[in-house]
Formats: sequence, C-alpha cells, structure tokens
Amino acid sequence: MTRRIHSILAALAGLGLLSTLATHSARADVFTILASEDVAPYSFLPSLPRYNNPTAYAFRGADEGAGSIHNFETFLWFDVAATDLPAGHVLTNAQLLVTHAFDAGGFGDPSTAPAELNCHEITEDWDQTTVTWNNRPSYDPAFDQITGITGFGSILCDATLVVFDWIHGTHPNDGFALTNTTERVLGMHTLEADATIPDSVKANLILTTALPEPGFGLGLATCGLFLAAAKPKDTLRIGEQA
Amino acid sequence: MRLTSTALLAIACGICAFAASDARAEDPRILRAETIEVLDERVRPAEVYQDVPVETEVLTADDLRQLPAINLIEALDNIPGLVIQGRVQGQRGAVRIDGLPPEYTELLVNGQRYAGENGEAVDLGDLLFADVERVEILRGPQALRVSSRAAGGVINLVTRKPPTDGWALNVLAGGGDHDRRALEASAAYGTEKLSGSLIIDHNGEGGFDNPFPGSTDPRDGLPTSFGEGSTYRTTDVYTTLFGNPSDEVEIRARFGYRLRDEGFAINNGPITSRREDERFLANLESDWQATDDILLYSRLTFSHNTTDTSVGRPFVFEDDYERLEFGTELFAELWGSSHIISLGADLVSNGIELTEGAIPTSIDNPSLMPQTLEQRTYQAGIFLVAESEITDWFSLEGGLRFEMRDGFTPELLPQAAVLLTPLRWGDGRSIKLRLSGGRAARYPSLRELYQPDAPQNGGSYFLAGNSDLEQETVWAVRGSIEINPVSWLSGTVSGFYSETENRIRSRFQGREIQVGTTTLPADPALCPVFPDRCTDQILPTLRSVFEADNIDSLQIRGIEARLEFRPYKWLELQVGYTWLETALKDSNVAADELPNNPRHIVSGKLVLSAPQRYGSELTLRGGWRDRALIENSGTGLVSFVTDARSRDSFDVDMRLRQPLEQWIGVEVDLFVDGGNLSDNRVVDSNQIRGRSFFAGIQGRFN
Repeated sequence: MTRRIHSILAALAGLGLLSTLATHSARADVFTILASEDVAPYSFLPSLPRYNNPTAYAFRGADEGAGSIHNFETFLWFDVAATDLPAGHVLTNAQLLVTHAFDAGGFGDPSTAPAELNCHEITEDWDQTTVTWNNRPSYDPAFDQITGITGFGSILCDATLVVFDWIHGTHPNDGFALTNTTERVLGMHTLEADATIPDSVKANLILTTALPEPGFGLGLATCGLFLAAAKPKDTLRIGEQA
Repeated sequence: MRLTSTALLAIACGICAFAASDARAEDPRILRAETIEVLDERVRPAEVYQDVPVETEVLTADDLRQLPAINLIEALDNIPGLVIQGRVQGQRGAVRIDGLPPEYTELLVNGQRYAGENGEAVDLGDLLFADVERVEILRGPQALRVSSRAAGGVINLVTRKPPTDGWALNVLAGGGDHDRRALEASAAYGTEKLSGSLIIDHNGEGGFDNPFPGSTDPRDGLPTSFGEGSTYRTTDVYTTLFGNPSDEVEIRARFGYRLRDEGFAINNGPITSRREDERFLANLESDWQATDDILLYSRLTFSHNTTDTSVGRPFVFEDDYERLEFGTELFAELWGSSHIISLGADLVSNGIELTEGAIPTSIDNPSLMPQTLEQRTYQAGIFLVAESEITDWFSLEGGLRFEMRDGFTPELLPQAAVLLTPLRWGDGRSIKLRLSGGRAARYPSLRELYQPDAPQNGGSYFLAGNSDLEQETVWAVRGSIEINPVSWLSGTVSGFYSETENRIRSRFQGREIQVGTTTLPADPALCPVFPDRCTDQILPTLRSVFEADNIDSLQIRGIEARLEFRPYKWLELQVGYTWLETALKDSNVAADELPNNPRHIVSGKLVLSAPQRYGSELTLRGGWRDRALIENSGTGLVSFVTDARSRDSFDVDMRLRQPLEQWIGVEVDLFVDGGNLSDNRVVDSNQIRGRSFFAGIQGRFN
C-alpha cells in the first residue's frame, strides 16, 4: 500500500512538473536513442548468454507436453546522460518504445489472451555478454504496465521519472527490464536483427526536452529531488510478491 | 549403388574367409582373458578384473541370472564406475565410463556394432539381451581395434556359442505391471563341423508415470515425454552359424533383425507421435590358423537402419554401415616371454539418406521445401598392437592406430596398458597395479555434418549441420591397484583423468530463416519521430538456425573403489564408490560442469543363497547418487544446463530366484523382480520408472 501511495505521489508530482514545463517552455525538442545493449535470457537455456540473438521475447509459458517451462524476459540499456540533452534543456518526457513484431509457435499452445507488458527499472549493473537466465539482474516493480495487447504494433512505457533520475544521477542507469506475466508471446527485434529490420522497430527511448524559462531550473531540480526521495527502493525478483 | 559396393565387400570377405584355415572359439581381440574359473566347490574367487593389462570385468551368464534384469540397462545398473542415464529424450540407457560422454562408450554384440545411428551415442537398451553367455566391460581407452572413439571403454555382449553335439533350447517368459512383458526363445543345434542358433526376443513396456505431478520444483526432475499411455516394443531375431570346414578354419556368420516401435503419449493420454526403427545386420567372420604361430582373419559387417518418426518433426532416416577388417596375428616366444603381434586394417563406409517431412503449417514461406539428403563417407585405418607377457609379474599391451577419414585431418592414436603384479601368494591372492592411457577420436556423424535446416518445435527455430566440423579428440589415462589378500576378498581403487577437445554442440551463429511476414500497422503517434512508421510496414519474421560447432572442452577426473566379499557360497557382497568431477571449458554456456553428473555414487549388491537342496537365491542391489546439476531438456546436452541441483536419490532392486531343477530334473528357474522398491522418483534429469514388479520363468534344455 505504501509503495502504491509513493507511486501515485511521484506520478502526480511528475505530471505537475511536466505540465508546468509544457506551458512555460520556450522550445521543445524530441530525439530518440536506440538501445545500446539488449538481451533476452531464456529459462529453458538458463546458462546460455543470448546477447547475440536477433530476437527478444517477454512471456511466461509452459509446454504441457514435455512439462518444460519457457520464460523470457528482456533487458535493455540506453546510453542516456544529462550531457546528451541539448545545452540548457531539461527532460520533460521519456517514452520507452518497443515494438511487438512477431509471436512464436513452439512454446506450447499459442495463447490468444491479451498480453501485458511490464516495464521495470533494473537495479544492478549487468553486461549483455554475460547475462543468462540464472544470473539476470534484479529490477524494481513495474513503473508502467501496458495491458490489453492483442496485436502487433508499438508499445510505449512512460519512463519519464526513471530517466529523470538517471540523468540527474539519483539512480544509476542500469536500464529497463520487460516482463509479461501472460502466455501470449511478445516478440521483439534486437540490435542484432537482420539488416532488413529498421531501427524504428527496435527498442528506442524517445526523449522530449524543453528549454525552460529562467527560474524554472531551480524548480525542476527541487521536484526531481522530491521524486527521487519518494520513490521506493525495494527490488523485486521474479517469483516474489510485490 | 550401395548394394553394389556391399556385394563387392561381401565377395572380398568370402574369398578371405574360404582362404582361411583354423578355428578359434571366440574373437580374441575383444577379450584375451579366460572367464573366471571356479577354484573350489565352496566359493568362487572375489577377484573382479581379469588377469590382463586392460581392466576387464566379466559378467557371466550365472552372474546375470542373479540380477533383477530383463534388459542390459537393468543388468548393468549400479556397477561401480558405470553411470547409466535414462534420458527423457533420447537414449533409454546412455552409458558413461570414466565420466566421459556416452559417445565414447562403444557398445557391441559379439564384437560388432549392433544398433544405433553411426557416430552417435548408442543406447544400451538397444542391445540384444537374450541367450547371453557373458558381458565384458573394458575400462579405459580402446581405440586401437574396436573403435577409434572408445575412449571411455567398451561393453561387449557375447551370445552363447551353439553346441557342437546336439540341441540346446533356452526360453524365458514373463510379465509385470507397467505393461512389461518379455518373451525370449532360442534354439541351437550343432555338430563338430557346423552349428547354428536362432534367437527370438520380444520385449514390451508401457510409459512412465509423472514423478511428481504438478510440481514446479526443478529438484523433482523432469516429467517424461514417455508418459503413462506410451508404448515401447522391440523384437529381435538373431541367427548365428558356425562352420569348421577344417581344424584350422572357423567361419562365423550372424544375421540380425531388430524392430523398435515407440508410441509417445502425454501422461495417460492417446499416443500423439511414433518412432519406428528397423535394422538389418549381417556379419561374416573367418579365422585361419595358417601356421602354429600365424593367424589370419577377416571380419565383414553390414547394417542398415531405417528410422521413421513423427517425434519433434517428421522425417525418414536411413543409415547404412559397411566395415571390412582383415589382419594377422603373430604368436612369438622370445627369451622366455610371450608376445602376440597384431597387424590389421579396416575400411568403413557409412551412408545416410534423409527425407524430411512436411514443413510445419505455421511456416509461411513457399521457398522452404522439405529437404532430402544423401551423403556417404569413407574411413580407413591401420593398426599395430603388441600384447606381451614379459614375465609372470609384468605384461603389457600397446599399439598405434593411424586413421584417415575423408574430409578430416588424419589421426595417430597411440595406446598402452601395463599390468604389474609385484606380489602374488598363489591363486587368487595378489597385488596388481595397472596403468593405461591413450588417445581417441570421435568423428562427427553425417547428420552433424550435413543435416539440412530442419524446423523444430513447429518452426520456432531450426537445427542444421556444419560441414566444417572437426573431430573430437580425447586423451585419457587410468590407473588402479587391485588387492586380493585372500581369495574371497578383493579390493580395487582406480583413478582416471581425461581431456576432451572440440566437443560438438549446436549454437546460433547468426544465420536466420524467414518463416513468414508481419504487418506492422502505421502509428500516427510515432510518425513525427519515425517517418517510416507513418505507413504500414511489412517485416520478415525470422527464426534462428542453430548449427553444429566445435564448442566445448572437457576435463574429467575421478576415483572408483570397490570391494568384493565372497566368504561363503551363500553370501556375496559388492560395495562400490565412485567420485566424479567434470570441468567444462571454453563453452558458450555459463556453467563449469556437466549436467547429470553426481559427484558421489555409492552402489552395492548382496546375494544370499539358500542351501543346495532348496537353491533359492535373493539378490538385493541398490545405489545412492549425490545431487547433480539438472538440464532442462532431458537430452543430456550441456546447452540446457541449469544452476539447480537435483535431490539425492536412493534406489533398491531385488530378484528372488527359485531353481526347480532339483524337483523336476530340468534347468528351470522361477524369478520375481522388484524394480525401484524404494520408489525413487528423482535422478538428475533422467526418466525413471516407479516401483514395479515382474515375474517370469526361464529354462535351459540341452
């Protein structure tokens, strides 16, 4: 319950801040960052690093016939820092864009139930070349959840507060984790995907910045600190109850 | 074309055979030692290994009759140093000796390959187990003559030789729960010049129940893909002919047919997929004792196996194998020492024909068609082997094999084994030291080399061969001390170490196959940022291809200890302990040891016999296995290794045997087997049958 209150407060504060910025900014810029690292470890091959694989998935499934468990999670990292923002700009919005581009047979009977994508902030350092299912990094409870996914297309998670923390150094930038507790297979292209796959359907971070009016910088920093302090720090691993 | 080449080989062998001229009762190249002799009426000696440099253990027909076993997997269960895994997918009995993967254990019947895909691990359950005279277990590298890949050892089943003076009949019939049944009959007839036997062996059994239904704890093991509703049936027909046209010549011909039919069901449901293996085997051997000191011999083997399966994906696979071996053995006495020098050569041809089934309906790519494959490979080897008994306390066996296979670097495979007997106090009382070592090579199977892209799991990924593979190579050494302070007590401690390079396994190497397309709808919200998202996009759906590659290196070391205790005729006790450690190197997985590899194994066997006038015999056999890393597929592959360990396990089997001969005058036994009496459900990633019972009758008539 406490965690939920913190989340609501943080969201309200963030919205207030962003709306204030939107009305007082002199100019807004939008730019995208392609993921620098992506990997989707697989529970059935739990010791295998899959960083060079062109596909990423998020789902939980079971093959009833063989009794095998087929779980995938996806881990992303974006090279984002305050120095990447245009001079004098402040972050006003950050959206994590992933594209559900395919599903998969073979992981048990395909599920037609709507999927839900949970976007989490990763809480420890990791390296895509060594991440396996067994040693995958821990992550916070989802900061955003997209439900009712029934077809291919774009999925956006609001990552504004998370990225805000990163660029202000409140939290280290350890990237995002994507999970899906349903059996509907969410398949995504990775950085290693075939050359015919455009970057726009790979994982991207869409950042919106603004050049604030004088005096708003101090307000932004204050709000940022408030949000960072209000945010719960507990970490959550798969299988644990929030 | 294949039949033509086979016919030529047969003619060549025939010429060799009829040019030959001496008789030898058995193939001496598999085992030079005599079977253990009974020294007195009261007890048989406890000595485990034969008096030869290579550690050679022999299970005689009498030994086998004591065991709760109606197949070879059960017969060799809980023998110290042998690790047998019943894989959830694949071999029902994958045998590891000295910890090496099962591809390095060569399984033979009468010295010849009997079943299994060439180049792959053989299933112990596929060997004939009827009318058995003995089973020989040779530990340590045996790459000189038997097989270049036999780095772990060899298991050779020898069927009973037909009589030379009349009839012999052997029958076994029995049944039990789990739909188990066995029916075996053999008839043999012979004279001094000509003899022969016919064996018919049929076995059947049902599937396995789920060890722990509903459990998601990895320590509870994997549910089997061979569920309760599954069926497994085998039928073997095996014929042997022995001809002795003169005192110097023996000709042996064997023909075999085997049908294995499996139906796979999920739990107790209907059978959803089938696999059928049909194999024909012919083997012609001849020995000619040209002079008192020179033996010439030839061996010709032909086999053809057809697999028709719908398990995983539908395909038909044909695998044929032809092997011609010929050579000479020179017996020599020099300065009080005796020697056998063998010089031989072998030629092997192996061909496959693969016809893949229909492309899964989930794949929408007209350019993908069911593929066919036809490949053949040739291999030639020459070997020189010296077996010398220098003194009565020092003997050795050593040699060199040079092997060539088309497309591969030639291999030079040295091997040596030494036996020292520094102390001997008479029959059955001695201290023996053995040391053996050698190099072995396993060439990839033709499917590992040339398997065309094959969709798996409905097309979620593809498997493919790789023609650039190199052979796997192994250096292995083994040393032991055997102490027999009295004839009824024997203790042995052995140590072994091996290094394996270039282990073959599949991995993703960047190649993908399109299995369809995906239409991504236009996204107006993204249009300002990504102009290509302003309209619908049609993207290829790609699936990864996992290709065979030389990935892993392995280091294996271990210790085997066993104690045999036979103080009275009514009591025999065997206790064994095996410590096994594996180190996985240079792998693409984050694991540092092999899965399904318990570090500590304790095994034991107790045989209690009632007095002669009753003849009853009770055998209890069991084992404890330490926890081991689990792998997720039940295939034994490192690819699926987890960081979870199984629970430890304890299983006990028993056989109660009652001979009826003293009452009815013919050699007939009744027996009742109890399998897995402890109802152990968890052994690594194995499939194991729960508690089961089997009752049968066995008779032999001369």
